[in-house]
Amino acid sequence: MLRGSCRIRGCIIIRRAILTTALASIISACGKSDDTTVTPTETPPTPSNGKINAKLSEMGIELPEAKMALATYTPWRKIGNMVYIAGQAAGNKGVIGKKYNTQQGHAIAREAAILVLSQLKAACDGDLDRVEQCIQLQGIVRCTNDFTEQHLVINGASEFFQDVFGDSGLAARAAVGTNSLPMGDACEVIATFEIT
Amino acid sequence: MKRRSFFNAAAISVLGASLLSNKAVSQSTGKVDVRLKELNIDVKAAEAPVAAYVGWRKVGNMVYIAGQVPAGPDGLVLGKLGENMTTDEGYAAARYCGINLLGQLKSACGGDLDLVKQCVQIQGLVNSSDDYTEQHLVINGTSELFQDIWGEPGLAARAAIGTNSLPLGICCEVLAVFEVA
Repeated sequence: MLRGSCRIRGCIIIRRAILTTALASIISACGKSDDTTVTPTETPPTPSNGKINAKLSEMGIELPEAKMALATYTPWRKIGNMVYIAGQAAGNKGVIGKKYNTQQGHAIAREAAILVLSQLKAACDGDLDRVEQCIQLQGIVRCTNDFTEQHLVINGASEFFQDVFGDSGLAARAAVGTNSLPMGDACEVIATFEIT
Repeated sequence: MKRRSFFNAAAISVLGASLLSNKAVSQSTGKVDVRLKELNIDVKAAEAPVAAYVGWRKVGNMVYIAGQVPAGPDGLVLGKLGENMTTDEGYAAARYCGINLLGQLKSACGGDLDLVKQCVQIQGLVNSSDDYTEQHLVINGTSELFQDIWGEPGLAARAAIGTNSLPLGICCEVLAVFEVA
């Protein structure tokens, strides 16, 4: 049931991304014709086209707005060139090993990683190209007592960061299980990044 | 099921690699290496894991080490404290986690453990039954190993916690952060 909704949400994001790209190309085409015919000296508005932004749109991912903290904490802290990001969960309620299988857990961990990235973007003042490397990643999997594939679930988050940042997206990682998480979420991802 | 056993086999082969490396004879003869010899522990720089993570990350003079499993001479120590394992057995397993952390740390230090200034943080996760309450005594297996090697600087700001389950059914997992020169 929820898996379906994850898929649907994925489709919506991808469809939205396609529409946005289509719209952007239409707009830029209009801009071009304006530039050439009416105001040739005027520079067209520059979209945020960093390397990582380009990579994300190539992957069909539109980052959501960084979520506010749900309780008495801040979603991220910066100290020197380190950014500590609070635990992120995508709102898929349930227990892995019971309601969700490993593969569904993998998709849920990826959704949590996307939320981590939104917070990271906010911490970088919108410029994800400032990210040097992912330092540490802790993935907490809400699971049954006999579930032993937490590492495969958290691959959903690790592989996402690898897709976005390449090998510097790989972290010193820990994947662990727990019997319970806030709001009944199935997975929570905590990460630390080095930025410039 | 097939896939699962494949993943397990893959994971165990990764773990096996670090196991073998622990058996290998260390070449270097720094102060820490001498101490390790006294303790009858062989640590060789660990190889990088073949998965979507790295064994360690260095930023400035801090080394962050990925969660290490209790891979000992007889393979992975699986089990649940308070159910099918004693605290002493858990302690011994946490010591294996510590030895594997040393392998990663050695790799991060380019082979020279004398570069280690102090252990900053340890997080130890213990696969526990609902009523098990001696996680701190289990994780002493890691902490006391580092204390034996470095003395007071080997002690970390530590957290020992219980969990209902860990990857592959291992009985404990330990993460650490070190300051190096």
